Amino acid sequence: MKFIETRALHEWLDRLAQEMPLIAPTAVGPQEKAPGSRNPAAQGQQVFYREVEGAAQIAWDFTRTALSAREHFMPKTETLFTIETGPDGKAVLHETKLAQPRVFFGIRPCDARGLRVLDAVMLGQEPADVYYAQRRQNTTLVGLACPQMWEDCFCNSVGGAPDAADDVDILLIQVEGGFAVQVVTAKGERLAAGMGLQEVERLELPQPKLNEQFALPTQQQWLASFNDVYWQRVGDRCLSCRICSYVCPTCRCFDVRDETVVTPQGERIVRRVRAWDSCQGVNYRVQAGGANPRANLEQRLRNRFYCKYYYVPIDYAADGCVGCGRCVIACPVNIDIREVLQDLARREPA
Amino acid sequence: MSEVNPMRPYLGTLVGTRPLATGIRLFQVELNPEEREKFSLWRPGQFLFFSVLGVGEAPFGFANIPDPQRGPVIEVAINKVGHVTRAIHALPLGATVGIRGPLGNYFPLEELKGQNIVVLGGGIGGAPLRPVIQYILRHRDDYGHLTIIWAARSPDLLVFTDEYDEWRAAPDTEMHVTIDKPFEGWTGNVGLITQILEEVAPSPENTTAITCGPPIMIYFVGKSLSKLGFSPEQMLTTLEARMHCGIGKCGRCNLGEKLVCKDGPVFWQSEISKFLESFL
Repeated sequence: MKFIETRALHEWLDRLAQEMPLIAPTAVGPQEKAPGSRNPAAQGQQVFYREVEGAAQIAWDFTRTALSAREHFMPKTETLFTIETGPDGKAVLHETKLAQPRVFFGIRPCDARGLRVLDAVMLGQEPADVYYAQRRQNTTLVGLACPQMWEDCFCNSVGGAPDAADDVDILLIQVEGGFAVQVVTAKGERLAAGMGLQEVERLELPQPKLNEQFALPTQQQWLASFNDVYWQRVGDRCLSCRICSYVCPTCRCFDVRDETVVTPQGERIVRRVRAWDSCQGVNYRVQAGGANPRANLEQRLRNRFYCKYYYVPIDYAADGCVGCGRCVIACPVNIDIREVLQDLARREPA
Repeated sequence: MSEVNPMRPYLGTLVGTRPLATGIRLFQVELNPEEREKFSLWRPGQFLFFSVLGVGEAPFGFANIPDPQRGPVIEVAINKVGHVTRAIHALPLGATVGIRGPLGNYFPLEELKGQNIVVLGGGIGGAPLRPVIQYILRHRDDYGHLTIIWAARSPDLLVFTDEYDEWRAAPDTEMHVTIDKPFEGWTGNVGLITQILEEVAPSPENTTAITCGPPIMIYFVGKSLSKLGFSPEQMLTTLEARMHCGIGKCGRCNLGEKLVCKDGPVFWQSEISKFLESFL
């Protein structure tokens, strides 16, 4: 069993951050609540995965980050290429290249599992997406196991575990005085070579406290529930605000559009960008002629659940949800994915 | 992993355009010489993304088949209805444009050799069927009787009217044109495409019907074809949806677990009837 002392780990991270971009969980936002603010979210800081300069900036004690790891592989908005038009009117396209290797430290096992779903969609079928592929290939994932399942987590109900090593290159599990280190992949081995790991005889690994597991609807139940009135009932509450998609580690829907921006230096840049989108938005399916095949709230809400648990497994051979619980927390009208799943699993479709 | 970036359009030049119907024009694009070898030739039923660089891109069906004499000149019929299509209509000849494709599946015309074919096009839905007609006319001896039924709401919305004489004159081919409602000066058929289809009543024997038009038309043409004895395995159609990638990634075009871009756009009626989510 491999082990690293906390101090040695910090020193290694500090050195690493000098050599290449290091992404890690870090606290972002105001330290204090704004005077007079009644907004609970304004209080304290939130943890995001962000580029850090060393171990001191890393948030070691956190539940889940506000946004998943997805934003570092499929940014909220990214430039696919810039368009340069010469004086003769001929255009040249400059594609975005992303060659730099980097380390993603402290990714939670559920977020790493989310990348498995994005991999299946973006890389699993030809043609692969070159932007996502470059970021994925250039990144080594060092996972940080959760010491317990947090409130609203349900990874164990969708095939995951708070200390799963399946989707990372290296997994760290906090133990007395440091971290137990599981080197999972060849990529992880290359990185671990510089970590100065100790070999120890045996290590007492903590058993993370789990939340109660529940059964998911079967494929037959999904099939039978498509036209259930249940979707009208749940859809009735939905605001189409799309927050569930934006916080989701596995949502990947995107919009593509061209835009012209002027830099502060006065340079005019014409580019094609790709941006996060959500099937929950009312305009998501609208065609130029005005037709909207998913004009109703319940149709859109239903699509989200079917996408995760029925379409993605069929189309891409991956489980579409990792049980991170972010959509449960973020939903302003308390639509709870766990409740929907359990309702469907025990309901007679009507 | 492939080195090709599927989100990067091939660059080409707008070499020709002509009006087809009210609001609808045909656009001809020739790919730049250095792009041609990377671009594979398309088949009837496939689609492309047409880019106006700096404005955006949108998906359209190919409206022609590759011409062995003229090289890969791409034709698309485009209705001026949205942000990108308005920009396409405003392009001057010689403008640089982008083409992504060919994308999606295609009409299985090789498998249909030896059969009679019924082609049913409604409005601009005729555009992706023009390559089917061109392909059959080019390989005329490989197919049986060809019935073309072409419809539009009004005469000014009929597409490719200048080619009807050539289609009619082809061996073993008949063509019927109809408009939905009476129109001043129109002396041809009046009535919905389903009405004309049931009057013409093509025999289902050794025949495949290929339909494209608005979803509601596809639905009712399917009903009429059933009445005439066609089975869902003898009906082909092509669907459309809003899309942003065309390669099964952007998530936009799904009908249940089927993706119009990747599993389609060409579907057998027997597949569509099993869709979890309605295409209507």
